[in-house]
Amino acid sequence: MSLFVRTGRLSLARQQILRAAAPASAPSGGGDQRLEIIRRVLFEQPAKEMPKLEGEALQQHETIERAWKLHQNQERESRNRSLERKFRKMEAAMNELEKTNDRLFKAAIVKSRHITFPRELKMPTETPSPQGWNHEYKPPVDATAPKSS
Amino acid sequence: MLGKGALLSRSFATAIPSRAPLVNNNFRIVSGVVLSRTPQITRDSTPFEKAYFDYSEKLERQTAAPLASDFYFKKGSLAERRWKEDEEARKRAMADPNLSLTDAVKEVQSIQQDEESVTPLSNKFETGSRLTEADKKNDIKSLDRALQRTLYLIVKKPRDQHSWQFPQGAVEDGEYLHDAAERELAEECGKNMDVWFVGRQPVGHYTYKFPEDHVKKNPGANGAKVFFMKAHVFAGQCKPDNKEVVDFAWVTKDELPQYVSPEYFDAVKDILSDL
Repeated sequence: MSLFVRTGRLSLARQQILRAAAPASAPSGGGDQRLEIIRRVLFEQPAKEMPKLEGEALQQHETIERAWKLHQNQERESRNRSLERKFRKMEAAMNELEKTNDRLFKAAIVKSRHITFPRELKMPTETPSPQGWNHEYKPPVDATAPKSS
Repeated sequence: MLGKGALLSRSFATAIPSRAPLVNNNFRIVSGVVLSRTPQITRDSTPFEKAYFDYSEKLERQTAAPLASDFYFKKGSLAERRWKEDEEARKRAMADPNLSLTDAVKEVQSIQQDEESVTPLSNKFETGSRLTEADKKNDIKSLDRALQRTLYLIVKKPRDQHSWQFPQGAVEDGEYLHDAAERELAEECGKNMDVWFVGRQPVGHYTYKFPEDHVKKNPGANGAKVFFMKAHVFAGQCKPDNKEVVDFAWVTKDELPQYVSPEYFDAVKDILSDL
């Protein structure tokens, strides 16, 4: 049992499935070819051979990877700084509101237990809608309750 | 006005709030709206990012298994022929250090598109262009402009100094900040926008003093404290009421200093998104 685990690229379970699925006779026509193709696509895992980099090529690769990680770090830091600035602004505003008006402050603190976000708040896509922005939007006539969280 | 409110509160069970604006320490409490149109498309890659993507693509191709084309394509079909042409282009690009895989495939696909008119492929779909007409014309009022950036609504008041600002209006007695913000936005900018307010907390504040001639004309407050509420717009367009507000524009954070005063921008810039 341990031999299979060490040598095979395929796991033990997969090897058993492959053996069970293989026909006793040799493939003999269009139908069997399709089965072979499907079996190959499902079960074979060709070994991934990383090209061995040496010397200058290795240095180049490592420099590129380091530059990318540095770029990612810089992006992340700038995003975090921007968020921190936004948070501090919000904190300062709430502190100011507390000093200014007690009733408004107490109302601002209230948070609904069932906060929902609108479906229209979607992620950016690679290309925009071919119709573009709907500048001619008219609110539905019977909408009495505004969208609020 | 106050008498009427008091009279009505005696006859009805609930008190109807008076329309008097809230004032604290001689500062009028004002609710402002930072209405944003979020980015509609992903941002462009920087040249370094594009170079890294091309490098990673080639490295990935060296270690990846070849596609089982006999599984995915019907033998002798047009799609299989197209894919074989793409693969040939990719193989040539692997040897060429200056050509990326995606660029090589794009070249081949442009040739394939010329042949499209003769033998069209069944599933074709139209995508919008990342650079819109509004971008080319630099139409400040359009919401199709600067799709990669966040656009913010600013409105123009009919005065000379400090005319451009975010929509704002005084909070009335009995009202809350978010109620006042929704009401003021509907009054000043029309109801033809699909707007969602992001909760009850203000995202920033700005305190300023009124100019002296304004205080003489409208006694009751020496200045105003504006609490900004955040909102998103999903559809529609602003329609100024031509009384309090005469003009509007949708601008990015970078373009905002061209319109608003330096003190206002300093107070507001950390609320806004860079992208």
